[in-house]
Amino acid sequence: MGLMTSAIEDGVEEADEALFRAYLGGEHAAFATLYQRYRQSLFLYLLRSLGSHSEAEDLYHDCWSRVLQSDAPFQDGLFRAYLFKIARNLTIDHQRKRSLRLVRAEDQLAGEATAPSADRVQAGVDCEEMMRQAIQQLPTEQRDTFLLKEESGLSLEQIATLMASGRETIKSRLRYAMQRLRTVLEECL
Amino acid sequence: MTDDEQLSQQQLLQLYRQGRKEYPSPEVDSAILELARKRLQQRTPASPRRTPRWTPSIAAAAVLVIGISFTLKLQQQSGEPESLGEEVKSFSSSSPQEDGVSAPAKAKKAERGAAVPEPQQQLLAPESDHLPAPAASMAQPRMQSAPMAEMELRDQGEGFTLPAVREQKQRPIPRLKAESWLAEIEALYSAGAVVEAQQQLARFLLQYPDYPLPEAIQPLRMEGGAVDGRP
Repeated sequence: MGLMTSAIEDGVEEADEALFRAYLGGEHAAFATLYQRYRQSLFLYLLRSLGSHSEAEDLYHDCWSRVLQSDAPFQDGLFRAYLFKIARNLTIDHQRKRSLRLVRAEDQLAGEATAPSADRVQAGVDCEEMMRQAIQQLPTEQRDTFLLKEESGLSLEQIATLMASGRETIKSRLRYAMQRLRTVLEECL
Repeated sequence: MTDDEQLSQQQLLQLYRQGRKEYPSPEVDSAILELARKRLQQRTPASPRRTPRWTPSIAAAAVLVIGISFTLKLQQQSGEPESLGEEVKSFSSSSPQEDGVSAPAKAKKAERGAAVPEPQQQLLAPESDHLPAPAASMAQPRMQSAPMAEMELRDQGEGFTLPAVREQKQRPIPRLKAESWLAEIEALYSAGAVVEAQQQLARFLLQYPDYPLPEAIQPLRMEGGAVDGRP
């Protein structure tokens, strides 16, 4: 089962690279397919990391722009890993620039997340909103790890490589992130 | 991790995935796809890079090498570097005619060659063998035109035999060549180019040792001493 999944995933990665090579060879349609494949996951990674739709869109555009500037982006790895690495670097740079504003926003979001109203909890839509806020409330490293695991589909080893950390560190961050989310969203589970 | 924890983790992830509803706006999508198209167009002019840049220079070098080797071969065959231009011209002009000869015609030609009497063969063969390339190339078309001439003569009913036709067609060629060559030598000598005239005369005498020399260039032979290998 694991081997099959791995083989399928390998096939997907191979297809990503083949698509990008086809694009570099002159096939615009290949890029459109590749773009469609990562359209939502990349955008959600940025949106959940930044918490702002407009900022996420700006970075999303920048991310694809950087991918398009490169001739062979996956020389040292997978296209998917390369794509999310660019996204993560852009996010980190962006967060540094607006660090003060972000702290204020996180404080505000944390206040909202820790005190969900009874009405909100009763409605299913609110649980989704609470989840978004709870993710924003997570420490940066934990949030990043959780989002990369959920949105990029990379393995723990690949995430560890991308974040320049050890596999066990990534595993711990993921576990702490889940615990926090479970605590905040206990009423929704 | 306990079963409860696992269950709650699954519920948590399910809740997260339920909330995955956002997408980039269509404007951003179209902007990125348009950007991809533009980058592709920018890359397209660079695509000729895939054609190796060394190809034209290699082709030029190959043409040069072939040309030089062809020229050297011609020089070796003729032994007359000076008349290279003429050789190339005569070669190129005679080739199509040579190619135009059909197999039956060649067979007939061979038969005719065999039919030539021995004294005539002796007269013709050494000359044509030793002739420089221009002379040989001049002789070839005439030999190929012999069947035509033969056909014409047969049509006229004059009863000419093949050796006679051949003799008539081929004898004047070396004579003409020798005469024009001598005229050149004479011109050189009269123009004061004694050394060149002597060299030409030496070559001439190698080709036509028994050909009578005109009086005008007899002094040249005397000046050159044993220029023809004879005292």
